[in-house]
Amino acid sequence: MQDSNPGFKNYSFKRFSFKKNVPPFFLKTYSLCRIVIPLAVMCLLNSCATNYAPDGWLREPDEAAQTGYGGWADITLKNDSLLSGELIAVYPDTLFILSNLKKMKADSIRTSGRLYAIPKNKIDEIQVTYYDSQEGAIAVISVLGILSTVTHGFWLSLSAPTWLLGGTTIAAVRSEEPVIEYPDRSWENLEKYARFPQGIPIMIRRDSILTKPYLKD
Amino acid sequence: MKHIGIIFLSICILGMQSCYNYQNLEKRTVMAGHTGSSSLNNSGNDIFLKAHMRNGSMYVFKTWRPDTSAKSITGSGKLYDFNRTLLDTGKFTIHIDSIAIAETNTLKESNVGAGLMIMTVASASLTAFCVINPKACFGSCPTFYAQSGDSLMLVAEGFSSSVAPSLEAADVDALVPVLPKSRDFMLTMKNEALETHVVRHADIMSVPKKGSARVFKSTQGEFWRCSNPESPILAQDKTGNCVDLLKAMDGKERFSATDSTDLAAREEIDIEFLKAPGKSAGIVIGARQTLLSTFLFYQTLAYLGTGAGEWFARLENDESGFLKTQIRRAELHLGGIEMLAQNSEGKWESVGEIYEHGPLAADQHIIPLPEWAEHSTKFRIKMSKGSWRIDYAGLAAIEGKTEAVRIHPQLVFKNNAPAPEALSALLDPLQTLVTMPGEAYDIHYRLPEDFADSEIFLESKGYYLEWMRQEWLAEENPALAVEIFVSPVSALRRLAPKFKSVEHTMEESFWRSRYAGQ
Repeated sequence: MQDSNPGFKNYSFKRFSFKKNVPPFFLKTYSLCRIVIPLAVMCLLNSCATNYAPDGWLREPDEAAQTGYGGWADITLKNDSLLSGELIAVYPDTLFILSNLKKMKADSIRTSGRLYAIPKNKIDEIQVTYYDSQEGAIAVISVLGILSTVTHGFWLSLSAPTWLLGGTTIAAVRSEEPVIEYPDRSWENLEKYARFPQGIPIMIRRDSILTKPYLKD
Repeated sequence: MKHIGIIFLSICILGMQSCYNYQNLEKRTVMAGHTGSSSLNNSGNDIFLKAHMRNGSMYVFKTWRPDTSAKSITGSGKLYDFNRTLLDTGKFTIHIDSIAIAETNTLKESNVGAGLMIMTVASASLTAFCVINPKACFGSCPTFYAQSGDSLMLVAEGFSSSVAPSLEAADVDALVPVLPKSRDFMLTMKNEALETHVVRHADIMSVPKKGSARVFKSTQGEFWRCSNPESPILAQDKTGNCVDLLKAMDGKERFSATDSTDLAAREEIDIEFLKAPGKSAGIVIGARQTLLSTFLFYQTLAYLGTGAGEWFARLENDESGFLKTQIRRAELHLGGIEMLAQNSEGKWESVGEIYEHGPLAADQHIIPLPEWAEHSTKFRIKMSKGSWRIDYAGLAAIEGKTEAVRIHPQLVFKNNAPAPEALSALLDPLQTLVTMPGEAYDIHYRLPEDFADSEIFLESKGYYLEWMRQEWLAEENPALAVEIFVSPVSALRRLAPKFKSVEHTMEESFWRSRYAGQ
């Protein structure tokens, strides 16, 4: 009802109905989310080291310290094709990986079962990741951190970017910690991240080497 | 129920932090010939020894002891085959000759955990502070920045008192610290708060002067050309002589704490100048508000709560002017900076009052003295305790009234790209430029040829809409809001302890964060 004589005397304390329909928290954070979250996700995605290990393949550091599998190797060949799998052994002129990914066929690579032998001279870059850095958790924490700044009022202009930049930096640093890259690091340096740092024992039939069991999605 | 979302979020962050132990894994290999060396001694709980055997199997020792005489390693652990299937668990003794390569795996704490924890604790502390004291986390009206070296310097804040469309007003700010180096001049206008800013125009007012003369504006909007003001030689308040704080517009401000029983309680500062400039003099004051007025505004919004929108709608339709009168009344009760001079009878008499809204950027105003006070050298400042920060006081000889040249924006950029729509909005009196939190516009002006011999001011016109904060709703109490409007005397007394309890933290934290962010 429209009050013809506005003033305190005739004022009725009627509540808005939108509060019932839309969560206030959503209303408050909507603008922030619209601007900052895509930016945060974009920054996190761009700055973090990525690997192609299947979900669940890489283990957390304390578990990786006690298992005997090699690290996950993502190998870029000079013809720009990509090969990925468990690093099995590193020889002076050849590198072995084990993969159960069917798309891993490459004509110039000698194979034995799922074991791929890749000549060193065909390799452009190698990235070996030997444990799960959990940078995804950092990303989630950072996004939650950004959301939590909605209570900061004016300080949001400081705290949200701090979370964005800090979270991005920390996630990027963390994602690089379990990564060894060739040629940044020497070829020989890759050996200790292989299942068989001593080389594949001659008594083992190469087609009997099995892939690591892991949890799939 | 209040703050449950934020508390839940904070618990989630801390919970996730505690769930993840960010460790690094360092590998070090030892060739077969060296596996009996003392370097393989077990030296910690987070070290594992992997003995890669010549047949491809592998022992993982949690504890071990090398025996150099027997050339063996004894320890507890697990044995895996070449496919890393677990074969056995227990105590093993292996001969060094059967080991191809030994490898230690050391777990170390990653620095990222500490970094993340620091950010979480700092952010959670700020969250807790803001949740406990939500009105300490401020917004602001449109802020204007000018280039100063490689960084931007806050030089003005626009129409701080225009908190509703019907309160739209023009605000003229002296761009005191700005010395344009060329005719091309740029201001960056930002929306740095949870507010919607509606900007009608943002024009430069260029006022010609000569040599060392200065130009100041009065609260009536007139520009006065003056001599360079003399600084005071004495400024006495209850705590002593604070003259050093008032000698220059240098950011060193004189301010006091509010009264614990009445926010409108007055205080006085007696200032003295060496000599009177003679005929036609004026007192120049550089000041800005403390956060008290902002606190009161936000407290009012908190009391209005979910009904705030309806109240503002009523304000827009307030043809009788009743609400506007009440708002003005409350404002007047808090008061501005009143300047007094001694009349012929030795009594202190008011010569004028300054109202400069906004707590962010200090502004300068002149109070032209009436004829009877032109030869005074002693003045008294009277104001509400804790509501003003005075940066400068000066006594100037007025040379005369002068007119400003209005300079409209020539170009507007947003995100480094031309924004012709924003420009046309600022140029057309019937249009407005609406900005949302986080937006910034670079507004370019072309100053007159005699820009070096001019003083420049910014005239911004518009209004802004404060966004209601969830935390404020918890204090919804329309009756107390009514009290602020109809009985500001009692309201300012009742709110005194509430403000007093947060005053120190609020001021300190706000300004530290504010300027750190520029």
